[in-house]
Amino acid sequence: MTSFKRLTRGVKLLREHVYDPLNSAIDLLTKSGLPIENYDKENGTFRLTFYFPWTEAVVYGDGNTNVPFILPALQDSFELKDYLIPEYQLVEISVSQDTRAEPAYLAGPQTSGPTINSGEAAAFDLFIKEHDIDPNNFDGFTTETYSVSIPEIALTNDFSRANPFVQSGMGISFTHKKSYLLQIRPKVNNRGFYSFCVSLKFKTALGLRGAGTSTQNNTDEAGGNYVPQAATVPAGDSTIEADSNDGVNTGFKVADAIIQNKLTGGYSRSGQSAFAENLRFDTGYEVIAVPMFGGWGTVHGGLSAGNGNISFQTAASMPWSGTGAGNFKTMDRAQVALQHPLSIEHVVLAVNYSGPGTGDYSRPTTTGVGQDLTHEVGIGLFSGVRSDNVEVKQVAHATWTPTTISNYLIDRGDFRHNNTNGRHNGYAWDLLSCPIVTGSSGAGVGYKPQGKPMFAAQGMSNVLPRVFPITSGAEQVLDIRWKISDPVSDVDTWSTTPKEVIVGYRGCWVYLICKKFLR
Amino acid sequence: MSSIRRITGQQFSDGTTIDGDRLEKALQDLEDYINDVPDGDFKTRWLQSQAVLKYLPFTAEADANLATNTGIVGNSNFAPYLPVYNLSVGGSKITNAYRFKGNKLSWQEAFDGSGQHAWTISFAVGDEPIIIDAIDLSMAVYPSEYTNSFEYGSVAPPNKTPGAPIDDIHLQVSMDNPFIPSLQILNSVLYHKYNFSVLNAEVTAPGLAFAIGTDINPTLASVSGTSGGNSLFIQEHNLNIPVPPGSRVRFSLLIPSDFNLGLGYDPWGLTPWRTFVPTMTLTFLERLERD
Repeated sequence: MTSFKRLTRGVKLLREHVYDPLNSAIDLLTKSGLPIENYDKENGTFRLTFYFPWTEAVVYGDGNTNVPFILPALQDSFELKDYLIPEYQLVEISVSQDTRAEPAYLAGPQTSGPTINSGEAAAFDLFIKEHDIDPNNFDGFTTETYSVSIPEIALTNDFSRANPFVQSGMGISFTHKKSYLLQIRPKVNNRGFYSFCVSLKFKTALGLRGAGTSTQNNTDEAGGNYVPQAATVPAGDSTIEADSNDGVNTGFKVADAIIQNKLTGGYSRSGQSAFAENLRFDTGYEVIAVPMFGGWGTVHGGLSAGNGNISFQTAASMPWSGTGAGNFKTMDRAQVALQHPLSIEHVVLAVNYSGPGTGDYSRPTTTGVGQDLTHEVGIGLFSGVRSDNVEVKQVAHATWTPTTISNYLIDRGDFRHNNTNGRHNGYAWDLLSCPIVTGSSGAGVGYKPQGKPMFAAQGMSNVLPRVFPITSGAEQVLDIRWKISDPVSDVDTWSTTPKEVIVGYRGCWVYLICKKFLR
Repeated sequence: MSSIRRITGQQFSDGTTIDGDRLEKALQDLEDYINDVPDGDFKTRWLQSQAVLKYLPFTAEADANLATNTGIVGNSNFAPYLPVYNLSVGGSKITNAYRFKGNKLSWQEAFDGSGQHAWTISFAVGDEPIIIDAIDLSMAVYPSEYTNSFEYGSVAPPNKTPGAPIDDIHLQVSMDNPFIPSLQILNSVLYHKYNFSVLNAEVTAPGLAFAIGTDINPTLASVSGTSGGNSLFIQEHNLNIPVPPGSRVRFSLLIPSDFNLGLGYDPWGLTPWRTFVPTMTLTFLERLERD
């Protein structure tokens, strides 16, 4: 905070009484940027949005729709002491489902059509639960952090329904030390939800950009563009004037003009900063949550076509999958547009092994039928939409089998886990780190060894290319791919005791933990 | 001459008093301001938030299994697409027969909503306003499993030319009426993109093979059937649509789903939701917040 020395009554008025504080204020605005303690609003917001195209509802056990997430510190604060890492506060939640705009629930896609059942609704309870991060045990998420109940009566009035529902004005603390589980528990059996969307809005402190080689693919302007200004100090013992070049009014006008022109920080859409910046703390925290294999039920080995319904699908029916030994290969791919610059700090994967009902499920094991099941996840910066130069640059990559998954493991959590035989029922998740690739600027920090954060922006031209020549500084899209394969066995012949899960109920998730910039 | 009223109410002019008390007051005003700079004085005071709405459609084989096991011939996992028209069946009460506006396709009857399905996501805004900055929709197609030429074929709708790029995709953003939010006939359409040729949205020029120079891992070539296909990428940015606090907003993608005597129309067919893999990214701008 800034504090000007008070003028003492009766003391001779000196230049430094006026121009020292005036110029210190102007310095704050122009020399190195305004520090965070001088902001009225010190926090940026981010949203964690979960989307499910359809989720069947069974009133049992774990509620059937569960997704874990974590909120790691950005790389520039990852290794600080816990009390120095900014916390996150949940301030708002929006929940919605598509009921064809009717006060009704809709019959599921496993029926002959989405029949409108008026006067009844797919009511639910929504929870966020937490547990300590621990990759070595399978503890469930049992501590409730937040909950809301949407009863049927709130969804069946003709004119006013809580759909979409919003609750704001909250301030529930979340921390990087815990992992969390979003859980949707239906109130009425078998009334599923179409197009179910949960958006959690958080706030957390603004931060600094990563200048120079602290970030890969960095822009030349990451260090900030500051153009120092100052009020002209008059000569000693000169007459106090108002409007001369070194007058008092002229001096105050320097500060006033800077503020009238409005204070600038951050980057433009193309990744450029202003000629003369004023804000030092101009970055926020961002999480981009991307569902992969969303909309599919549980896929486990040994399922025959006769089991294919809305809750279970066979491995052979997955996209591009073949049958026979070694022929199982499938992939999901997302293309997320880069509208504004981002710095990708961490990539976290939520690997799903959940199964509905009371089935006897298991993760693929090192000695079981799924021992060769291979997951491979890659994130790329893609350039080529409506262009002649189609290129993609690797940002993050991880590939694992049951033998090597521990190299990436951050946390795991099961609804019910049998430590003797390793089986589970209900939700079962692993949270993995997908390491940022390491470039010439050396290692970064994170849950597991990885590279430094990766900057991405659409750019204006490739005249001054950033470090990566492939995309020439013109990144348009985040290309996210998740491939699952078994190069050895015939997954359709796997034993189903236990059911070793290939993709869990309602799919997996990729979280891009990013730094974003004021605009 | 300009004043310095932004930071202080004090005025200093030649020929008037410039005494210590007034200077002290001006400096105090400056100190108070600089210690608590309002975000309204930031030119750059917004942060983007991106919501990714995505799913993987069922394949034809998964649908076939579903049809077999449910005993419903032709059953397909159509979720999250739902018919645009709410028909009263067996006297059931319907409050919103029509929930979209201006979505009729040229070959369909005015009151026949049976030829379109909509993927709708709704969203409620809390205490703080937001700005809808961008909507990006990737409609990815591949050589197999999810195929769509995005051109009218031999079974084209009336008045459409086979081989011509389609122009029957609708993107609509609407806001519920603040007084009777559940009555969709009163909603306001904030944005509606329609009647546009998909030539404007193709990732690659027609006739050019889509090939990545050096692919990342996992490569598309490592999963046969994923390399190629001319996808669409509809990008609407700089929308600058302000949404007041307490609003309810709906984002919808409408695609044709004509039955057409059990044939459907090209290129959509009877299961249009299975012909592409969508990734919709919504970008909002949101304000800073206090502790």
